[in-house]
Amino acid sequence: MRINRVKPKKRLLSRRQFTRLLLLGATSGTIFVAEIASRPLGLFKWLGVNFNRVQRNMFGAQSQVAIITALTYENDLLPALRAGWNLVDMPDVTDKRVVLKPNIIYNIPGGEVNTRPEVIDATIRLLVEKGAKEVIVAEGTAYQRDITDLLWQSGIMQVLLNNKVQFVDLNYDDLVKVPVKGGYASRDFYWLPKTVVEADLLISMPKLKTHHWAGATLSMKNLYGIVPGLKYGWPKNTLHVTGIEANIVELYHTLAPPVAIVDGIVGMEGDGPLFGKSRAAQVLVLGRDLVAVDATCARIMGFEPGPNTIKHIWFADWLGLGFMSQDKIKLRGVELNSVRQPFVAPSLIDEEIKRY
Amino acid sequence: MQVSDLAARQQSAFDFLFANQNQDGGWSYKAKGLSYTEPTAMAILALLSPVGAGRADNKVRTDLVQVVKAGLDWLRMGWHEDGGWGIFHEDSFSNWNTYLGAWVWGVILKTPLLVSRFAQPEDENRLKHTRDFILVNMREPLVGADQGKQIKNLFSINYNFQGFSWGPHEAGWVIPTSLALIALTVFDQTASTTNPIVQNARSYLSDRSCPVGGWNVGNPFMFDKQLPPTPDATAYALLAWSATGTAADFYRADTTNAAVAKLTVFLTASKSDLTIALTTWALRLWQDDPNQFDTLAKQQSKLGGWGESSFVTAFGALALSSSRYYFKPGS
Repeated sequence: MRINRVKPKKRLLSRRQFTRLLLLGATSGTIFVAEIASRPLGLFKWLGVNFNRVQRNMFGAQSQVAIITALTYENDLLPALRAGWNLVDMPDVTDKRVVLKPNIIYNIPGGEVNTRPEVIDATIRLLVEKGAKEVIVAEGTAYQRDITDLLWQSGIMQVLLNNKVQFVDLNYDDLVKVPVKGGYASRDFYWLPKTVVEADLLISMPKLKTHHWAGATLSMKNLYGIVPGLKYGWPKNTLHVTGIEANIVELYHTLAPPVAIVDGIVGMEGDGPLFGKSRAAQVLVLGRDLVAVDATCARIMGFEPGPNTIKHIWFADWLGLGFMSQDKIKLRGVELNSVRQPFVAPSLIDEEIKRY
Repeated sequence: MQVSDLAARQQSAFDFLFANQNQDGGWSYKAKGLSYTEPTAMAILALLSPVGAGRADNKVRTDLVQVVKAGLDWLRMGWHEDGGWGIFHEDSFSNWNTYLGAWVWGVILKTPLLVSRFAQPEDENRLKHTRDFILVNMREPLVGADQGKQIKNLFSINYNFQGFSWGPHEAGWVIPTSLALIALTVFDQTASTTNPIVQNARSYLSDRSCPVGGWNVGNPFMFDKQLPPTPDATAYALLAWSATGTAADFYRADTTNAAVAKLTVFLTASKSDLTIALTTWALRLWQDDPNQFDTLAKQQSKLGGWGESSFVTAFGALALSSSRYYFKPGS
């Protein structure tokens, strides 16, 4: 008897092939979900950031920050500033074109709102002494289109005239398209002022202040003033919409490494950055790692930066752009504890309405 | 100051603008700077007077006709497909500069003499497209009730009034709202009585005025503190109020009176050519003071400009103009 043997149908996939395909699909799906979840950074950048961070924490040298006591604006600040500059690894400015970026924001009589002219004056003289080829003071103020009267009212214009230093209004400077380096704020580039982009060295000179939107406004937040109102409007709140912290860190990352000189002789606590009370911290803080400088300033004000407090400092540290941790900061000058004093914290504004 | 003095100073300002036009046809914010939309638009608005706008004497400076044409060509090149303008040609994203482009083309297309001299057939439709862009994209989004209450608590402002923004779909602010109101009213002189969006934006301006008089960026209060007014926002808001109506026909008369008083103080104290030119222009629309041009005149250089800037000089020239062709074209 002849048996008709039925030839088994050939499977499209063997069991092993099917299992492999399943694994491949699961892996691809996981990567895709991780990519989406880690945006705007993205998975690969996230992995790179973590690698960089771990490497820096393990092998990176400590950042140097100088805290110098300066009791009052009435004394000549040049000796204190010179001492601070020489204590840390500040860059050589010989034959350099240096741009000073103070914080000049509003004329509120009696309020310690703006970086004081005495600090700007001493910094100009220090840089000239150190051999700088040219010193420029530059700001793109946020609350009005014309800064000229604010320069007069704040006393800064007199300093410019006395030192024969040029002022550049960054809100109206010719603009250069600068690709971002981080990609943290959902933008590919900034239009930035030529004066800043072409500077050999940028010095961020903020006032030590609390801030409703950012927790504190220090040397990194001060970089917002570089962004031209001409493109981003006044008071530049479009940057708030795409994330205050993300934009602060993006600017810091994108600009050539700046250094910081913080005017903390009299700062502002509470209702900052405009209506807080004056608070005499009596310090100047200097350094070339702005994350470390700002973290130190925060601690002087009695705040410990973290994911919920002055978040941009924590974010910059997390991205490996500098050090926030105290054990990675080499402090010079006076002891932190000797100048630390609790500032009244600002009431913070909800994320949703930061655009106002 | 004599009328003849004013006219001579204005001609001198035109000469400055003529001499400082960039080769590409545009104007810059500062001496020898790049061409930007805003200074180009303001320079053209100023120069429309000597080429025929609002002139009863029919005296036209023929040397300036080509200058204006080149400026308009520059503006035309920056006119985006979506109807808007960026800050300059390299900026492909339309933003608040759209109000300025719309203002210029509105004046031209509503002034028969200028139409025959400068307009092209497609300009009318393109301007309508620009108007739509402003109304759809540049008006601030309405916020929800919960968010609105927080805004009211923090800034003491009425979140039901929607201003216009610096960039598409952003929060409204006083200066862009003022410029949008001017552009929309130049496009349609009845807008302030027939267009609810324009009426709402006027309410926005009223709501955002500072208790002490004048305006700032748009927050009369920060928490429980009053944020002081600034010269620029006060001047722009007064320009917009003048373009869209009078103190008597809407809002509170004391709002404009207080703003004018504040602006007078700003002008007296100012050492800035830009602030002096802008505030003089705004004040001229609201008060009749024979001495109001003294400070402006004092600051004018021998070359006819202010602060060596075409942008500032355009404001100076507009301040000196006795006609309001730039708000009520063709009238």
